[in-house]
Amino acid sequence: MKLAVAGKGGSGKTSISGTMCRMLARDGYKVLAIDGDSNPNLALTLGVPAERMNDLPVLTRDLLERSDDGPKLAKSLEEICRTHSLQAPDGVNLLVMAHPQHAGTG
Amino acid sequence: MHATVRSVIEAAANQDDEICILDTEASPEHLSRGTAQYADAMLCIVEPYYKSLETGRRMAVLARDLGLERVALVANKVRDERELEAVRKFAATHDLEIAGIIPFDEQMPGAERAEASPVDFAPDTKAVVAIGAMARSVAAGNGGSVPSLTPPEAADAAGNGGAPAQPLAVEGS
Repeated sequence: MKLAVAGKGGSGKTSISGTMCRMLARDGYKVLAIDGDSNPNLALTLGVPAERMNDLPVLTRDLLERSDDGPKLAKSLEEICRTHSLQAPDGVNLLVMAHPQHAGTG
Repeated sequence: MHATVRSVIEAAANQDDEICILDTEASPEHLSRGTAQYADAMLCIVEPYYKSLETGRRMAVLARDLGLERVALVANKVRDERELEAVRKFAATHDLEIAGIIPFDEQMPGAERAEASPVDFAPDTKAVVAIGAMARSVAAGNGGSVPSLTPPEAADAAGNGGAPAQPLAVEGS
C-alpha cells in the first residue's frame, strides 16, 4: 500500500506520517518513509537524531533516466535504498527528496 | 524533484506486507504536478477550523482528479465533541470520508520540542494510540466506519463497517 499524506503547514501531517510509519513497522510491515517536504523533518518524527540527518544523501534528479513513458528510476528501488536511505528505529527506511534549495540540485 | 518522487512512489511497496508513506509538501501545488499520482490513497490532515478544512477539501479534489482510489480526511488536534461535529458536517457536505480522528494531545508538541518521535516520547499517549489505530485500519484497507473520539478499543468493540458513530466519551486530558 502506498499512502500519501497531505495537509497545510502546521496541521500535524509530519507527526502523523512519522508515527504511522513507526507503529506499522512495529506491527511487522516493511515500511518505506519518503520525505517529500521542502523543509524535511520527517526524520526527527521517526526518531532519527538530528545530527544523523547531515550525512543523509538526498534523492536527486540524476537517479532518473529517460524512457519512452517519461522519466523512470535509473536503478532499482532496493539499490537506491541501499545507497540513499537512512535506517530509522523499528526498521523504518527513510528516503529524503532533494529540493531546489539544496546545493547541487535543481 | 517532483518527477523523482513520482518515480520512487511508482516503484515502491507492491507487496501486502509493504507500506510506503509519503509525507508531501505543505502546499497543494505539488499535487497538480502529480507527485502522488501512484499512491493508492491520500490522507488529507486537517484541523477542525474552516481554513484548514477548506485546504483539505481542495487537496482531496486534486487527489481525486489524479485518480487515487481512496481520498480521506484525517481530523487532527480535535479537542471536543463540538469540533468533531464541525468536521463531520464539513465532510458530509462535501462527500468526504473521515479516515481518522486524532484527539488534541499536549504530548505531540512536547515531542516536537524534545526533537523526538512521539512513539518514543510518549508511547501510550492518546494521540499516538489513535494514530496507530488509524494506521492499522488504513493499511488493512478498512474504510466505511465512522471514527470517533473514543479510545480505539471502545471503537473496535462497537464494531465497524459503516456503523453509526457511538456517543462520544471525550477523555479529559
